[in-house]
Amino acid sequence: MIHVWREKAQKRCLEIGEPKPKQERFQYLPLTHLKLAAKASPENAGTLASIEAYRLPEFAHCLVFVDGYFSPTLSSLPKDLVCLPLDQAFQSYGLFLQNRWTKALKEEQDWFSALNAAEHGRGAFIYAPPNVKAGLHILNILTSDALGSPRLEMTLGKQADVTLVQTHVHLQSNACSNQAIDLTLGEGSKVRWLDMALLDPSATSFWSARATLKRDARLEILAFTDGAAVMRSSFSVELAEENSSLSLQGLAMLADSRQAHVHALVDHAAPNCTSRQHFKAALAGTSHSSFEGKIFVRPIAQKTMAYQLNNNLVLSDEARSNSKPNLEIFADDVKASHGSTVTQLSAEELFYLRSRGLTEIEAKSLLANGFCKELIDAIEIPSLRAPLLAAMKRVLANSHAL
Amino acid sequence: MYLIEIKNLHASIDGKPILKGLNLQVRKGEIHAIMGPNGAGKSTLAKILAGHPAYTVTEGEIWFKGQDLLSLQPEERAALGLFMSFQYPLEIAGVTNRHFLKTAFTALRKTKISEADFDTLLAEKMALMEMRAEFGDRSVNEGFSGGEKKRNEILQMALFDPDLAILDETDSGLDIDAMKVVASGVNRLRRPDSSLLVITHYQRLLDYIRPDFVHVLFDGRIQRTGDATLALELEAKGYA
Repeated sequence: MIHVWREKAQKRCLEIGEPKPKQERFQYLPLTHLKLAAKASPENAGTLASIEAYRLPEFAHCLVFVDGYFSPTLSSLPKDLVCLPLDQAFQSYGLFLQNRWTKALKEEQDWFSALNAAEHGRGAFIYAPPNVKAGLHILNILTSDALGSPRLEMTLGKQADVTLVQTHVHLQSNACSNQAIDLTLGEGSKVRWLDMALLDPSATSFWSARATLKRDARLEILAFTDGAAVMRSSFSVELAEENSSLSLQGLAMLADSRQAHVHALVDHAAPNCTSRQHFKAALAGTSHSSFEGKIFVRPIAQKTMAYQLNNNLVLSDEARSNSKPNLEIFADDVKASHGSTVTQLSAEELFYLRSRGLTEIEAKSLLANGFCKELIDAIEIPSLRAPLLAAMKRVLANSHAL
Repeated sequence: MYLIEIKNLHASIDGKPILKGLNLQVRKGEIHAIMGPNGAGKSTLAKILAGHPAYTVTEGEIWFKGQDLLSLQPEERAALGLFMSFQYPLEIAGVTNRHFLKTAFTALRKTKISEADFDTLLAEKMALMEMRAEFGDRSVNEGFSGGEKKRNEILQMALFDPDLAILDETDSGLDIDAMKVVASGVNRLRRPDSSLLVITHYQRLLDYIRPDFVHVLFDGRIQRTGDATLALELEAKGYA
């Protein structure tokens, strides 16, 4: 069954066409250097003796991908969630998946996301039955420099509540990944997705998150990264039914020549929905970030509240940041705003701190810390804080301004 | 022996002269008020004393506790016992007020203080300024009202215990109740040998913080000096 869908996705890929530098959604990506590696083989899961070192102490359950292939043997899956390899899921959840994929492929505009649908390894399927509350660590291991294409399909029943934390492990340099996550949130359900893309500096990493929210559903995404040779996040969220809400936040802390790019589309397709986007980047060295976001409010989506904010703090002369927020509003009773800043440390704030006894370096470090910590402090999982604070310190150490 | 002595101070910003030969001497324990119309150079004087990098001193000297103040960095001036309460205190996102205050306290005292000891000290000073404990956990000045920001400035004065405190229009934007809290905080905090330089537009604040001397700053120079009654005269007749 799944091979039929791979073929359809392949066709869609060809229709969309490979990314070109002049296309809006790829204009800031260094496409000239982009070469995706050959596809990884599924054979490497067996070579991993133990994954204990990569586990998070706060999570009893872990879903493991190795080189893009879901590994049921390495995973320890919670009983209250249905977790299956995607091809098996087609036997029990075929109708749902076919409907979902038909719509998704038709609407997909992003080549990387469509490519994953065609080329993904052994995908994983998660179903959270109604009223279930669960937490799950998703561990993405790449053992080689071949292209891994992990795929996760997840659907939540009414009032289900799932917290997911994803971490990444690269065992070799030049790791290459093109991940897709596809979420369907049933009525009143809730997903909190925490992505910890702390990556090898030589890695090429693409990931796409797609989500559809039914009535009263809530999706919270908090995505951290320290960037990579190329790193791009693509978000596309449809607020499909009334009173659903989205919080989409991200922080990139970029040192050296690392890059992180964000493309976000929020589609308000029903009345009374709320979306808040806040993406931040702190840049040192010769790093590069970009943000391109769009809020789309359809004619039916009255009483929409939609906010989008992108703040970039440039800490060196050579770092650069591009920002392009967009609003397209076709309903008349809407509260929406977008904003973007690209700034250096404020001279007035520095003077204020120095007049209180802090040296220039202490003052700069406190301000840059404050910029990052606004989002880091939103994390409630203790074991994740140390690696993020370490990434922040690397940026400060690499900062020309300090 | 003066605590601070300003001699023939000339200063400009972006090439535009603001101070044009200002002289002022303050002894230990004295309260001086500087009044004057908008644009006279009052806030410029405060910022120059604190070491704001945007102003250029073109002529003159400033001696503070026997040291050449103009040769010192802002943080060195603060460590020497000079404090300026900002007219417009800055908001610092992502840094809690408590963390900021403790970092500054440690930097100024150049000694470590335990978390518990600092919390005790902070709670005592916040009570003095009638500030609720939550103002320790919030980001520095972020979402504070005008009055709360000014209280937070005087809270810093309370913690750092400076020899010279410069209050730059601390009364602006305050209602009468908030002003009384701020003024009574200032009065209770002051040691007999510490000094105050109160910069204000209006005589109102001086009903609560009684100055020994009142100076009128106009066109970049001190034009008149008198006692507290001068403030009343200015209130009645204006600066002209």
